[in-house]
Amino acid sequence: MGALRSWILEGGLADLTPVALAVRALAEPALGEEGAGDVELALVEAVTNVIRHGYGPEGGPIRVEASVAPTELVLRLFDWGRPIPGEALAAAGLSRFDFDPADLDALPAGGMGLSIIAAVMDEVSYRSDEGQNVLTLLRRLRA
Amino acid sequence: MNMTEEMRGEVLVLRLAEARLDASKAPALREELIRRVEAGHDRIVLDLSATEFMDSSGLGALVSGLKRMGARGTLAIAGAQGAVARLFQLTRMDRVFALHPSTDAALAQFGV
Repeated sequence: MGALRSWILEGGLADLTPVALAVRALAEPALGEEGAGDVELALVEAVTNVIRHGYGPEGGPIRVEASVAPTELVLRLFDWGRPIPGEALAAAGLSRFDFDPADLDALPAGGMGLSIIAAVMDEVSYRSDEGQNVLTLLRRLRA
Repeated sequence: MNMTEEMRGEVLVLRLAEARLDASKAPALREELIRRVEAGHDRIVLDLSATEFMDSSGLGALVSGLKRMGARGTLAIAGAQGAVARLFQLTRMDRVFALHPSTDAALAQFGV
């Protein structure tokens, strides 16, 4: 296990950019520019989902942990809001991106976050227990 | 929402001056796009060359603008690069939007 860094976001989206940039900087030496961008995107999607769907307008704290080990980068998000519904998690692996590009009405304008996370991370797991939700995102480092 | 606009022939060029297009900015961009479409613009180039990061809410704002425009119009994207270009590829939205390296290249496609 490499060094662990952590942040607490309490101010909603206004707090997110500095954390996203810090996680990106942490990931870049291990994953390169594109891989670091993927990890940043996954974090932003996950935090945005918690703010929008987990907490709603009243808000609430989110703890972000990031660690880089020789073989993997791991992000963990802790929150105490409404958990992700089981059906949303189950659908995340099914691509939202199988749409017909010519069918304008069928194009997704939202609900893409979990599918993006599944597309850019190697492992995604989720646990909700006694009011605490933990989303774990893992990206393997390729030599 | 920091954005500049100009008419080039009959094409409306919008240049987004936001380095990050995330959920704090996406609703405003969506409103701006829909406002232009409802004002009758059916050929729009959105220049994203100043944008370094975009998430699914930003992409969703573009999709909303495209849907409002319907099949009769074109919303072209210019200057998407790095993580922004990658998001279009990851979500396969590169099959939906006409992506151009620059505003001038997009305008050339419109014959401007």
